[in-house]
Amino acid sequence: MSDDRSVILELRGVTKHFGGVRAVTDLDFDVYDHEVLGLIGPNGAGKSTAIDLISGFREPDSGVIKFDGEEIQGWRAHRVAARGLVRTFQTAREWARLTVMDNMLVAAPQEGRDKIWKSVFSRPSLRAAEERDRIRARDLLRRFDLYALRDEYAGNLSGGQKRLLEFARVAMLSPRMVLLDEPLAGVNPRLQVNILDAIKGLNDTGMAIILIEHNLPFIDSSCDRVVVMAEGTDIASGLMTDLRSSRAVIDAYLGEVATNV
Amino acid sequence: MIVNYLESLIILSAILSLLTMGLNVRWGWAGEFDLAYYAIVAFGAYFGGVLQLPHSQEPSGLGWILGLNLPFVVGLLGGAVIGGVTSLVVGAFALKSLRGDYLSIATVAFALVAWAFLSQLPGLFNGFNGVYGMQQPFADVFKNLDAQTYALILFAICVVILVIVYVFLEMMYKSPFGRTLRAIREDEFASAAFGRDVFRCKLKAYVIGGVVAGIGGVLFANYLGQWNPYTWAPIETFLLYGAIFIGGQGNSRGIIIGSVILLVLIPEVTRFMPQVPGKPDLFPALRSMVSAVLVILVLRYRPQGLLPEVHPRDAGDRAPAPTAQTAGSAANV
Amino acid sequence: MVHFIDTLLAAIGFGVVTSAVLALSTVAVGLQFSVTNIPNFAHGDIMTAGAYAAYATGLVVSNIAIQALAAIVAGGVIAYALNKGLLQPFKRAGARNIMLVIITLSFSLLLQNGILAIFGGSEVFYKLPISAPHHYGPFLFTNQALLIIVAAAVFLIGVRAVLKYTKFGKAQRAVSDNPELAQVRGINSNRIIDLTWLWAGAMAGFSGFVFAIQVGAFSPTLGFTFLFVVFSASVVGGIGHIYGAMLGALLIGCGMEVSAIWISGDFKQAVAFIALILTLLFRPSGLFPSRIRNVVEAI
Repeated sequence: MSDDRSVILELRGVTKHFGGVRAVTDLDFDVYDHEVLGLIGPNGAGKSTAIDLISGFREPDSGVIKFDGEEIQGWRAHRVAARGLVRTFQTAREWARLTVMDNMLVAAPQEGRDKIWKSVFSRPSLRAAEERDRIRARDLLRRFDLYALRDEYAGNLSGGQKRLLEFARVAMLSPRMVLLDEPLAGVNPRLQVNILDAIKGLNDTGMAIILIEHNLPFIDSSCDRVVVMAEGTDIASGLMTDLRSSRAVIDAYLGEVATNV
Repeated sequence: MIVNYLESLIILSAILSLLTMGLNVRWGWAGEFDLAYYAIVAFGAYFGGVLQLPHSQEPSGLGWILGLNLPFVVGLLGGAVIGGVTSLVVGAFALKSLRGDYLSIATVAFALVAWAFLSQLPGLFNGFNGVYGMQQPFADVFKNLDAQTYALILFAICVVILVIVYVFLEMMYKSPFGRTLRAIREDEFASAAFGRDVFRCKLKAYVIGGVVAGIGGVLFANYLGQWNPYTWAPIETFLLYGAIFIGGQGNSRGIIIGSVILLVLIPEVTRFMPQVPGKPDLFPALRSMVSAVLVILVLRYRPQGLLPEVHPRDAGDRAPAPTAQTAGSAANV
Repeated sequence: MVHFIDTLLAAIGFGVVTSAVLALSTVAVGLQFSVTNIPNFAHGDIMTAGAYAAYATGLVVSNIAIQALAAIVAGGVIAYALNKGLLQPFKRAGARNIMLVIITLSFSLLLQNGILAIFGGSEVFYKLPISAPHHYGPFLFTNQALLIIVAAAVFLIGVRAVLKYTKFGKAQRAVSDNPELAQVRGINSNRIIDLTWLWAGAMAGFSGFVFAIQVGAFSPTLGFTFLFVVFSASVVGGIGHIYGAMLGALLIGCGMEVSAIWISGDFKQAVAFIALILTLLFRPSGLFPSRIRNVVEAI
């Protein structure tokens, strides 16, 4: 794999300790533009904390996080998202008492439309923009097979449908990069192929993706490269096939899912 | 006689509905469990009074009466401004990254401090005596009319104000701004992950609620002719919440119905019950208990309220049916 | 200058008594908050119920220990009923945390008005035989005040011992840390939560009894107005930390009494609320931060 592709996300020396707990220590890795990177490791390795740090939900104690050429460590979550780096959560967080369609409309890039005075003035331009969003939303909902549910409260959907809605919302926002935190959690295993398609679909539109998952065959089929974390830091990175025989990786997973590696 | 009574009930309903609508911007739209609301109403009321009153005749020289003697409309706007500004200050501190339940504790602390200062310091707003002597809106303009007709005019004024506020709020609710607030209400983390400045939006909702509170406060004070610490207690905010829960938090018409039921009908119906000799507090206590039980029952069995939130259905477009190539069948899940 | 020191010490003396009462109540609500994650807005009224239970028992039985017991039982039963009868059903129906808080506030109104309906709104008197104040060093205490301080101290030592040394105490701390993990480790989280409500309620009832002794005369609003002073002490000290609760109570209690030297007595409580606001502004997790409960959300 040639390494003269551009890097969209860079982590250098990122560290976060909570009281006595060393959640993430000196974390270093890169994500290339347009790639799907798997982030794996045993429980407690600090993967979710790493996602929190990158996306601005927690502030690192030290280190540099560079997204698309700009340093974003210490930025608050909404600012990071507005910059083009979006994340999902371990449980699909839909806006429960909004309809599926409203979920999509909220996810769409607002381009300043959600300011207060715009709600009272400039109504015709609001209507036109909303109509454009609706058309795009319907299209995406059809692709994720949620179109028939568009007037349902999102909270009434099944776990798998909520997860697909999450992907649809991300597609609606179409950020540069998305961090997927265990998208298979709580989802019927029969839906795995749908999730895989959804991830590939997002990647095809040019999004870079970091994917955290424990299901290693799934990682194998969805990711280009993999970074392995253990005890808060990166211990290996590269192709899945290469890592299968890596001593460090096997040690880290000892007692975990070693048979799947 | 009966007509007068009914008229006063309707006017009261309009004013209380207005107050509840303002609170609903904070709770129903943005999900903020704020307990300082009635204190903001009070600030608006006091300030409106100060703006409107002429110089005091009394020799004690109540310093707070600036003798501005401004017309009602100015008082109303002044109340709106003070409501907004106070809310901005309180909200800037209370909403900044405090957890939802701590917000209620912080805001109630503010309301209690405000009540203590307003009642104890005569220098501000005349302590326990409060402001009094306000005329009812435009009473001097209409002073040649008899009481009956004036009451109708007063009712019309309240309804006009209510309608104007209602229309503005509905416009905001249905706009992208309103939708963003509701998303924040449902899940703040997801909203932040999709680029929303949660603090800023919640603060805006808080201030809008405060502006309505200020307007309602001035209207209420002018209607009553006076405003003092006995007229309001911080806990009254909770009754407004009850009206929202019962009526339906996302629905402006529901708010009005809820206000009428909890804040007007129940007190009035129980007003005529016979007093038990020796136990003057019995019926007011029972009334409050009934209100509390009603709120609990509604929250348990019909949390969306009498009139649920309205969400218009999406029109859809004429598109071909999904083909077999689409991403699996979610319907099988 | 000497006169001022005298006044100051006297105020601190009063403060210690207030703090003793406050500490009992603060520890109760803090313990319950840290295990259940809900600030209980009915806590003050449970105190009131305890006070009235002691008063009502006192009309029939003159043994003060039995009156205290009545307060304890009333508090425990009411708190347990609140959890079992209201909060659990709401939780099972999927209610969010803020909704549970609202339920406790509704229950507070219900309880307060229930007491009002039964006992009426006029003040009732609850007095112990009062002796003249004696000097204890620089402080001035009546026998009553001493009784309060001693009762509070004994109680708090007892609570600390239970928390630190008994199985129940350890289970409580586990649930407080992480209810799911505790469940996995074999602790019945729900049962611990039930029992926490019971004994936090019992403590609240007892603190109501002690409060009644301190004030001598009270009405149904006794606890509700005091509740926010208790919340203040809780937040200042740090939720869920027993030493924090005690320190918070000491600071707030003495702070209130000492401030009365300079400002009118009606403002006393406002001092507590201002301390609460300042704490939330500058050090939201309190003096003894508990790493379990976030006051601040990272958005």
